Amino acid sequence: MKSRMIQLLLVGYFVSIVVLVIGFWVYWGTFQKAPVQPIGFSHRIHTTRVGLQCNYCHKYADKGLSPGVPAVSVCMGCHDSVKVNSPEIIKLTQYWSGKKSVPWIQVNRLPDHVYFSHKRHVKHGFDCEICHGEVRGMDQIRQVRSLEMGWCVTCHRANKGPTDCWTCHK
Amino acid sequence: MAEQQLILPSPEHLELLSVLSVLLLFIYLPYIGMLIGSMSFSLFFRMKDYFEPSDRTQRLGKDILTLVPSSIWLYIMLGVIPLCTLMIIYSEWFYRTYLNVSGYFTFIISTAIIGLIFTYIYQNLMKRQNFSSLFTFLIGLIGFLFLGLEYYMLISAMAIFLVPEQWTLFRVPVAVSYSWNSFAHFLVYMTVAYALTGLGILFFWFQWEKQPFDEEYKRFVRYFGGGVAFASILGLPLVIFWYLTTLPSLAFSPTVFLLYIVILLILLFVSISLYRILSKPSSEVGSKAFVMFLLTLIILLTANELAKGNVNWAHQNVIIDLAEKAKADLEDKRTAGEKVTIDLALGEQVYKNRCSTCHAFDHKVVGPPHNSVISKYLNDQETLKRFIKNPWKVDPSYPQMPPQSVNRNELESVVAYMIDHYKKEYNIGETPTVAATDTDSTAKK
Repeated sequence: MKSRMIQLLLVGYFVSIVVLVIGFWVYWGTFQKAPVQPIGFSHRIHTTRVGLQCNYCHKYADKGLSPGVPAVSVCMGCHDSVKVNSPEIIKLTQYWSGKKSVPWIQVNRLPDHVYFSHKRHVKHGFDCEICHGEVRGMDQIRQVRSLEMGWCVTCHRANKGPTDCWTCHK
Repeated sequence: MAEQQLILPSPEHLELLSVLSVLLLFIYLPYIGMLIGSMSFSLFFRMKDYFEPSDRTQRLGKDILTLVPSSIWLYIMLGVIPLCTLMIIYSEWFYRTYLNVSGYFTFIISTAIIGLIFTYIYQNLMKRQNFSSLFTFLIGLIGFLFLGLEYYMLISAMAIFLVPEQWTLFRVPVAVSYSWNSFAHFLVYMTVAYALTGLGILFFWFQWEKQPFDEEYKRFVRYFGGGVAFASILGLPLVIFWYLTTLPSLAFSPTVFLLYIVILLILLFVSISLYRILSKPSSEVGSKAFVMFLLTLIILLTANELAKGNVNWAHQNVIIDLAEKAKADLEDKRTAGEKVTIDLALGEQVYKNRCSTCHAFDHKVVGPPHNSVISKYLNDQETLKRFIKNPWKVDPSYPQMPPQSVNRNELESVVAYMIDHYKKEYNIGETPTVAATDTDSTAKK
């Protein structure tokens, strides 16, 4: 009887940990998984194979706070004749025909109370990959750096950047 | 170029490295883990015997050192060689990052060698000397501490893969190894090490049944080994769950979660088996529990490898792309002195398969119509060849042309075809025989 009870307790203990792991799985799937973009755009193909530079599409990285995303016309500059039968290009063409911009899901996002200037960092010579990861290897874009304050401050300290609060919390 | 000195990886090569690293860790971690476990218990019994002298603690303190087969050759084969191989594998994986991985592994290997030397001396001294010898105890303590340090550093190296955001900030991997993920990872494998030590005692205990041991000592060993294993296996799910919460979200995938659930279910089976051993001794259950736990370990290593792959596939793609470029460059250099065969049919095929994606002769597709640009290369074909291999921006109204990976024959042939086509189009003289650099060449149609 006692032996049975102990074995049941063991089963209950392990099953509860399994339930916790499943709960964590559900949480990850709901809140933390990389978003699926409306078009399956591969940065790897466009940078490594086609040879485009970051600022070919993200034209404002060295000009303003936000680097911007390309207008559909930039994509159609090549894709009105390149790989027109690909399912992803067909989706792109539908946006173009419907005169709609592609509703890209922003992946690298800072909180609203943070002031970040892409221009300052690009002009200082920092490579895009430092913050955005090895985008040239990504078939699906995702956030790879935590972009938390501690991470930013560590880099600022290492590179003798400003660390006073007003720099980023204007 | 640095790439020439590498073993240039393909996707299959990198997958093979993943399998190899799992196998190496499956050899290394249990062996050294059980060595650490047996050393720590031997030292513990030595300390216990100092305060409460007891024949059976002395006896187990010596017997437990025989749990793990030890000799210099085994230390080299199962300890040093796997570490050296892992150093090569990790250096390849961390290529083009800022981290000095080979230096870190050199430190790990040195620490391991020192730890193994002291462990070997301790084991031999224990056979000959008084159990209470302070000198022996200190030798054993140094060996245990060095092995423990090296174990932590190796497991941290595994954990470094899971935090690529730190790679750009630090050159010395030890700075990256101080993180909750590293500590949690280390705790998982130390708990595994002690569980293996306890299970190993039970696994070999059935052999001890054939030894002329008295019943009291056998009972003491059974309860000790079973108790250590049982406590470790009960603690392992909590440690694993903590470890999962320290992993970055990039590491996860449905397969990783499923594997961890399978691990927990196998641990449930092992814990019930251990409970039965403690209540009713059976050598068969002991051996089953040991084997099932080894299965758990290999699934754990596989899950870690998958998590690593989930975090690092972008970096691996970068390595593969660099390798492909390096291979193309090596091929160019290798064929530099070879005869080039210009084949207009080959040139036409290359044009249709590659160039016509973005070019036509008489109208704009993506790039300019070729009939409008060929004229400037009629007397300067070398520039056209260089442009095809490494294009530069000419006209801002067109997008940047990507570099073309063509071999020398294809390059010469497509240039010859384009010029031939242009000349026929505009009735400009005969079909050219384009001379290759400094080799004989024949133009074929």
